[in-house]
Amino acid sequence: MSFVKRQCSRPIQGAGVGLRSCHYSYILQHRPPIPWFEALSDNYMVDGGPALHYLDVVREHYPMVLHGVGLSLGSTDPLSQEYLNKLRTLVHRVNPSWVSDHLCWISVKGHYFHDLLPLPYTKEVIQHVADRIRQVQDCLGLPILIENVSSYFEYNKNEMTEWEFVNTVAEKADCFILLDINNIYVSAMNHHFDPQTYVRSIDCERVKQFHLAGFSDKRRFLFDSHGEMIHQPVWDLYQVALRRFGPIPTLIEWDENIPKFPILQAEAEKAQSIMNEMMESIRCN
Amino acid sequence: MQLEELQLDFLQAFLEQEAMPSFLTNIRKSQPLSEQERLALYQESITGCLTNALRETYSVCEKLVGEKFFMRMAYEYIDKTPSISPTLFNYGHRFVEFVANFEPASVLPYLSDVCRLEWAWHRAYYAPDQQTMDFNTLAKISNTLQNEIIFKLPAGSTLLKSNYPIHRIWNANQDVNDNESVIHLKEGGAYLLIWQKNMDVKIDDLNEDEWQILETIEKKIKLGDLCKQNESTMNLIALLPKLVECGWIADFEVTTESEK
Repeated sequence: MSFVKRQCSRPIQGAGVGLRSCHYSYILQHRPPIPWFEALSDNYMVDGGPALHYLDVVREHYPMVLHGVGLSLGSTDPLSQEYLNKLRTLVHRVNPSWVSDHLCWISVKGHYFHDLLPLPYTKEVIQHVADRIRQVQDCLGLPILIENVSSYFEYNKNEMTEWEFVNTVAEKADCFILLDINNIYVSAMNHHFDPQTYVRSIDCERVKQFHLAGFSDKRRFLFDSHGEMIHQPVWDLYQVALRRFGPIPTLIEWDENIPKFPILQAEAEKAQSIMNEMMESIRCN
Repeated sequence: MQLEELQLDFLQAFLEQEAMPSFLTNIRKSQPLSEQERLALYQESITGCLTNALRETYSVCEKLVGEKFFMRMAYEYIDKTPSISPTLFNYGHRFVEFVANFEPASVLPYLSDVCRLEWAWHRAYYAPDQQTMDFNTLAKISNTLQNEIIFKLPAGSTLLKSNYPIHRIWNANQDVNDNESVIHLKEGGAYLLIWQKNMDVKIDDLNEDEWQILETIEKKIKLGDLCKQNESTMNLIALLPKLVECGWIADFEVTTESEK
């Protein structure tokens, strides 16, 4: 059976927030009305200790998804079996609504860069990545979501647009898409394409999650820093995405200069409010 | 496979830091940034990520030497030490050794020991959760088997000895510390056990006797041999209850061979 017809057994709704260690105490003390959290898988691939303990406790109170950076789906190295085993163990522990990683590569010849490097958009790469995603899904026994990354260069070898690449990989791998609205905007500005065309071209059936974050304006390019409030053009693009895909669960990400939790909560509430208004306006029309 | 060639070109560009690496030919020309600038963005981002991992683990070291000097050490370490794991937990495991041999840091002879303490803290933070000592089973061990008991330290713990007051130096450089008392390097060294208890990392000061017994226990020596090795068996017998009570001895085993 194709994964695309399969529904998530533990659905999430609304605007969630990325779980960060500096907020554990606040979350457990105040139990903020956040509909779900996203935990970074790589931070919890450990033997024990406070990080796993807090993950378990937060999980008791909130639905959760797992999001990783270490699969290196586009690498030409073999998939790391050790990493996959750890991810599978974590999936069993957390029972997440979704598991996601990035459509990129982060390693070659055993060297890890820990940065999300773009792939060439070619037929050869589509087949390569789709095969690896299927291996991951077979190992985990569930479909994963792949996220579009922001990028600072494009390859001469590209044979198609990024959105055609994302759609075709997802189709061939039979996986879902985590659409990062901020990444689309950053890449669109860096590579001079229309971000709305990107959003309007992505396969509706496969999008299961949105990411929103703040970029840094470096004047000659935009940098995907996850270190600022979400910028207005990204909110605008989010509305375009909501109109096309519906009320897709949306995550607020913040990784640099992480503010106090209420700031993130306010961003999540803003996303929720836009989602509600957009759905209401679609219903009225 | 063309993709592999492209990825190896990127690796070479990162490792060699050449002015015109062959990887540049893969990058599409596009204003306003040159191909070199676009590649450099990734090179800086990768270095920044690895540097941040070191800064998080070795924050006291950075406070002691200042941001500029720490960055210099970090860049040199990154040049010499590629990351070989999908996660960053172990990336700084050779930084202690690097700092000990980093000539410009030799004016701070305690620095590598402080780093050793920080790495031990990092290890303990992610250590497996420790089961409670099974006193019932311990009490039931027959007299004939008591000499075969092998005690264990808490999982992920580290015993550390330094000629410098590294625990006080560490404390003085924590964000919550408001004690401004002067630390003299010659005020005496430190015997420490760094371990995790109840989801909290503890740095416990030991006396020399306690440290030596724990160091011997760490070598998985049977209780009988431990008594023979210890010059003052009375001292060992007197100290064991305290070591257990403090949680520094956290578990035990009796070898299958001896159980037969």
